[in-house]
Amino acid sequence: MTHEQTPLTIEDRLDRIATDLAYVAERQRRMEELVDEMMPIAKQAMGVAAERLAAMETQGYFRFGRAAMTVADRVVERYDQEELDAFAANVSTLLDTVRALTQPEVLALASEAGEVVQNRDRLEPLGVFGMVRAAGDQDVQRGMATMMELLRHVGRAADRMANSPRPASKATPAAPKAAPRTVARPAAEPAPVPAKRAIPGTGSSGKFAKPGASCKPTAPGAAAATLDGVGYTNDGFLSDPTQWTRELAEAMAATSGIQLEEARWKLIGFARQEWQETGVSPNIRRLTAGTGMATRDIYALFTKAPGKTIARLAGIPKPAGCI
Amino acid sequence: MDTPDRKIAIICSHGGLDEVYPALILANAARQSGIDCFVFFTFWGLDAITESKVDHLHVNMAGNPTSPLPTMIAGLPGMESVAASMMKRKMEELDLPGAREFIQILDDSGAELYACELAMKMFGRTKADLLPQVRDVITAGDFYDLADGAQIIFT
Repeated sequence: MTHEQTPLTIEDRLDRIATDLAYVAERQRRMEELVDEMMPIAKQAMGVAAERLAAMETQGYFRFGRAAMTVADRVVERYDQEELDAFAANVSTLLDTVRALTQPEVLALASEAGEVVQNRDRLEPLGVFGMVRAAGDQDVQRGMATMMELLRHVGRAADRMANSPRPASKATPAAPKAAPRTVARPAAEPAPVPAKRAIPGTGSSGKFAKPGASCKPTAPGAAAATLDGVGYTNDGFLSDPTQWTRELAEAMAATSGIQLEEARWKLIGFARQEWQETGVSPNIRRLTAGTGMATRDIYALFTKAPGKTIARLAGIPKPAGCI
Repeated sequence: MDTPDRKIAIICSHGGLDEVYPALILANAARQSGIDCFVFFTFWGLDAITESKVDHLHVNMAGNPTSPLPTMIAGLPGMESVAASMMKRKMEELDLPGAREFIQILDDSGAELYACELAMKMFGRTKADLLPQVRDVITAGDFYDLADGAQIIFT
């Protein structure tokens, strides 16, 4: 019967192992329970910390923080949308940061800060000299050293991010950032091109075949119609700005029921000059800045769509900016 | 020019910098295109026309699925200020006017700005708390009457 006993023994052993496993599992479960219990507490602690910080914010105790923020601003200045997107790629690092932030020491720091708020009656508003004086305090010095070390880390991380190669995003964004206005500058002689294209029927393609160019007013549209040798786009703008004359402007104004007097000429003259100098048809904001005239007055002079009307009468392309 | 009777009514119900600007830009674009424009500020949108709030509009990145920041980070205190200051800098680069100046421009360009009466009561504000460009405090029904025949945009 020995050969029968063996499987029994094995079964017995298996039973024991199973018991052990159950025990281990039980311990594991307790650990999980503990974690489950801890989580809400940790969350609550975070909530309290956040609340206190928010309270400090509203009480204006973060003025120094704001100053520090400008430093942080400088750090983040080298970031643009692409770099921010890169942040997303580093979620795990950021999550590590969050975990570090929820450590008991950090929470203790937050509660310490909370005490400061509770004893705020004793605090006086601090001016520049007050800050200098406070800088002599050892505790403040230690705090500042901590902040500086923190900033150093932030700066280093920022450097790493700025220098890390990223596919196809770094090379391009620098240019439009540097000169948003001049990017749209067309070649010195943009006019003859559309003039030669002034064939009936091409108007629509000229108007719609420029995806993504909506905020870069540049070249005039193609002519949809020609009247007395002058080409017009299908929304009434000159297709060739060099064909513009004062008389033409007056004639165009007359058909729109507008009498061109000094103030209106000033706007038209400025718009034309601006376009000749920058290649961009000015929007109303640019018109107010350039002529010193108030928005209200410009709207009073050209009641319907002043920016477009002025550009039309100035013989320049339709302004395309959103503002 | 050839848009004699077009009207746009914009309802601005959120007060974040990124939530207010679309309304302001749409309103301004309407006026620039010769379209009559009415803007109704309600709920948090009231902040855009409240004297003490208009210069401190924030950007909330938390809970924004398209935000490049994880929500846990975006929810940290002060993040909305950081995000707002970054966005403001970008806006300056693009020569966008600030919210206060934008409201002024809208009023100058003939857009009509109104505040929601109910939201004003809820938030305990009076007409005196609002920017002077706000024409009146009206009810939603009044707004519909004013914007009769308008296309309505809710932001």
